[in-house]
Amino acid sequence: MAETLANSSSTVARIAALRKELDDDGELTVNGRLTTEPGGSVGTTIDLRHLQKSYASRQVLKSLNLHIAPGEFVAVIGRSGCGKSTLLRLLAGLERADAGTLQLRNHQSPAAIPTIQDSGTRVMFQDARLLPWKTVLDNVRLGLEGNRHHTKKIAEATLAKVALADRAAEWPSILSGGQRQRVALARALIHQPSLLLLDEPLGALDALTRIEMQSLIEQLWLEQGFTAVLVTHDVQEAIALADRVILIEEGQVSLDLKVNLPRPRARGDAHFAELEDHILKRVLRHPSTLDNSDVEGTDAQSRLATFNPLAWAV
Amino acid sequence: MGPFITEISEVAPDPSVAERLSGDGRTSSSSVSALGEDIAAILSNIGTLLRHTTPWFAPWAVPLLLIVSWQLAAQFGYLSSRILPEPLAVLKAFWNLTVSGEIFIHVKTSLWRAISGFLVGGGLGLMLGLLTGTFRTAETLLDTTLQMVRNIPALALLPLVILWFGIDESAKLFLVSVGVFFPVYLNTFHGIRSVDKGLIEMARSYGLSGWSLYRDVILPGALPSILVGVRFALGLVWVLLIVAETISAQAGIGYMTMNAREFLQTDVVLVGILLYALLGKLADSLSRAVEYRSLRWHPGYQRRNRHG
Repeated sequence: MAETLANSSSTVARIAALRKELDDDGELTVNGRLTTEPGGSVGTTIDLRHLQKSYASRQVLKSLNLHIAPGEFVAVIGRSGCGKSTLLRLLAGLERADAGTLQLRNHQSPAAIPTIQDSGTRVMFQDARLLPWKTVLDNVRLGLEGNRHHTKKIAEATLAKVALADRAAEWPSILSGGQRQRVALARALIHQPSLLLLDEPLGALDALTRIEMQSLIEQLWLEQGFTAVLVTHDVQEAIALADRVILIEEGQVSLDLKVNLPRPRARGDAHFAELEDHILKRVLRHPSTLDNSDVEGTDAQSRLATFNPLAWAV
Repeated sequence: MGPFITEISEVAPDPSVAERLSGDGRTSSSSVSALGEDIAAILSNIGTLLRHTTPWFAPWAVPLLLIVSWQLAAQFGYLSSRILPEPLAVLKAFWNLTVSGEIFIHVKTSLWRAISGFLVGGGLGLMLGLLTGTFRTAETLLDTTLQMVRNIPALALLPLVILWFGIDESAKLFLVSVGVFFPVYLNTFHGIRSVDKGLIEMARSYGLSGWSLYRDVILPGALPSILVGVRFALGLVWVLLIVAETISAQAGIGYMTMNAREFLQTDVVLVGILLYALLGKLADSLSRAVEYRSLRWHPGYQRRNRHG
């Protein structure tokens, strides 16, 4: 534990320094967000219309509609079995939808890309899924083309971003859970993804490591400007990281909430706590004073008008 | 008194050795009054001595004890040399065979048979295992057949093998290969099939496919299982070789023992048996070394490496 804490402080310091540096590939490092700049965004635009997916007669996703702007950080929450992981697997191209359209667009391929391979999408899984027979360094450069010397340099630089440069030569089996997820994060980021999909990547970590990882993911997202979709069952995590929190119930988007808290977000903040409480009650279907009508899908936007009295909701 | 008795008394309580090993100087300078304390100290020193010597000594303690009691039984006439010759006689026979150079011919012949049989059978098993493990079509086509053939004991084919190949080298090669084939085949197949699906999914989503997926994910994932098969097969080689060489041969360890039996040379028979044991152990150590080398990443092997 002491080791993890020591790492966390060095991670933050290191990233603060790195944010100002140029990327090793010669491309510009994104300092701050690119999403506001028209045309220059590196993130993927996601358009889902009437997306459907069934597993053996059980309909997991029923006509799901969702638009995600480039560079946006969206958290998807919901009870287990609600279809949030299925949505992520569809976005990742690990499975195909039964009906509906799924469009991913990024700066490399402005036209809609129906298949996901080489679309700049990378996934971080719940378990780190490192190859145990490859060293940390070789895991990070998995799937990276080019000569070994070159990829080694890039991998080392990326490992430094997650503060694991000194563990490059070790086997994954001796790393802690948090360190493994950091390696997995480095492995995803080395491809400079335009869309990063996070499938409850911090679910198995202890509370302290989780907070440390959250700030690391936030920092790297701010730095690189990719679109991020985080599936989680932790409402606090969703609010801490996301621009938008989306609740999926019965295969549809039943809540779409903007989180306009300034970053980095303090968990002790009153607005934070209020928002968390509201979403939790909504997830648990408790009657909320703010939420009289049961709003479904596309009605979410109009429902948001009722939040106006609150400064943190648009 | 045989030489082994004196050896035992040397191993036991020599306080000076024990003191040197234990490193604490509070031992044998005792006076008569502290006799009990002294004995306790000596006992603890034996313990220390055993602990110090255990890593290399312990595995050999039981074989050594068996040989000593065997030698004693032979010397005091409980064992007739026609049933079992004394260890010294076996050593003498071994020496004579070495001096005459005869033993090298036999060992060389047997080793060649073992290696070539293992390579042919193991290689085929590996190839077919990879094939059926990787492609569903190959599994559908081949697996049922192979599973049926597997259940025929290799040695039950003996009469046919003699008819097909006669009694020369190809018959022996065939027997060993058939026996070695199945453990390698089964474990390779199982290894390929039990590679973590999550890892394959991850690798695919990271752009790996075809040969690079096979090289980086599937083969290394199946390797622990394949090596179990190889080790099992190496043990089986010698069993099959003994039978193959006792049918009919002009050279080889099996031929040597069969020949010796005709002349009631029980000591030579024992030399042959011991040679099989040693070669088997050698093959096992070799495959272990390969395992340690190629499975360095495996947590189960790392622990042993760190202490050893």
